[in-house]
Amino acid sequence: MTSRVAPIVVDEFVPREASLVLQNDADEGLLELLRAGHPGAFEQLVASQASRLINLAYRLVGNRAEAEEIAQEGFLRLHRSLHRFRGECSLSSYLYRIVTRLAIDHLRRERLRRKVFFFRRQNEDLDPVEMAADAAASPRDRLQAQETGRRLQVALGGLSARQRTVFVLRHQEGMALKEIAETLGLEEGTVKVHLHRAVKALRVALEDLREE
Amino acid sequence: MKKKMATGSCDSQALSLYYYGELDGTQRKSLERHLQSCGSCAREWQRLKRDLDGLETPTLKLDAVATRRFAARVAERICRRKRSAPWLWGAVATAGVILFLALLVPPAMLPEGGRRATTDVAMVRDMELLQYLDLLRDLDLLQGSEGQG
Repeated sequence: MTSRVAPIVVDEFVPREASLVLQNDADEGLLELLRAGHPGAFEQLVASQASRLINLAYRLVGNRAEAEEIAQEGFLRLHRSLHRFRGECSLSSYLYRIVTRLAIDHLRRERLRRKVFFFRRQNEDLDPVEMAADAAASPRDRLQAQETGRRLQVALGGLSARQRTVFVLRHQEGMALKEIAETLGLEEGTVKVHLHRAVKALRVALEDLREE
Repeated sequence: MKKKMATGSCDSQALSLYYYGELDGTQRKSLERHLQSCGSCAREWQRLKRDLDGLETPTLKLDAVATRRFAARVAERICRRKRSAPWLWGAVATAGVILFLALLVPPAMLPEGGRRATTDVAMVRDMELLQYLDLLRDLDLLQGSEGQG
């Protein structure tokens, strides 16, 4: 783990606010246009949500091509179920939920496939430098960040589908545990346990990166 | 760190939840009090915080061209589905009607084919009689000679 973070004493710590920032929430008007099959309305929705959903899927499955495939499937499913969509949540939340579930299914299938074929994805398969690097950082820091990112992906790959999803949604997407529980259809207590186990496993896997 | 501290409510899961701001007010205050009095838990908390703060969030950069390309692929798949939908539903409906008819009509009502299965079973049984074929030929001869007689 990187040493960029200065030690913080207990008293100064302010717990993270659980916040899910869903940008570009489709409004009622857009929904009406979508239902009416207005040309361009769906493309507008795709264009506004693509980056967020591809990134979500990427964080969940760790591979760009697979992430794009999952995000595409998410949009197709939304398109198919538009007439059933009652607007109980925003379109972006709905899409978020679909993509998360698709990613979990994908992770489970992938895990099963690896078990069946004794296949282990090699480190070289990981999506390499697509990740945004801090332009201001020195080459050494960038290299270290890339290595940390690569190791994190490998460590995440060792978690169960649920543990990984809960961790990504809480740590990287900033979703509240209550919301995660709703999205995954789990009890909040179960989500807490998954989060803790994921944190524990990741810390063990990345222990050697820690700079004492 | 020990799983449960005798002096308070500090366990490793509570620390994880504290980090993410997922403890309720009472639990949080109790944990903070404990961390001020327990050196080993306070050190563990510092390590946990440093470890989790240090984890990067991978982010893909999607520029305007890549976004347009992605949107075009989605639109293409939707169009493809729309084109194939009537054909697909037609095929499914036809298959369904055939299956329905096949299940609905009793075998006896079928002209020849319906009895084919029964006939096949009977044929297999008749095969056992082949061994008596020579006798049957003899019987024909006998009947012929009787007729002549």
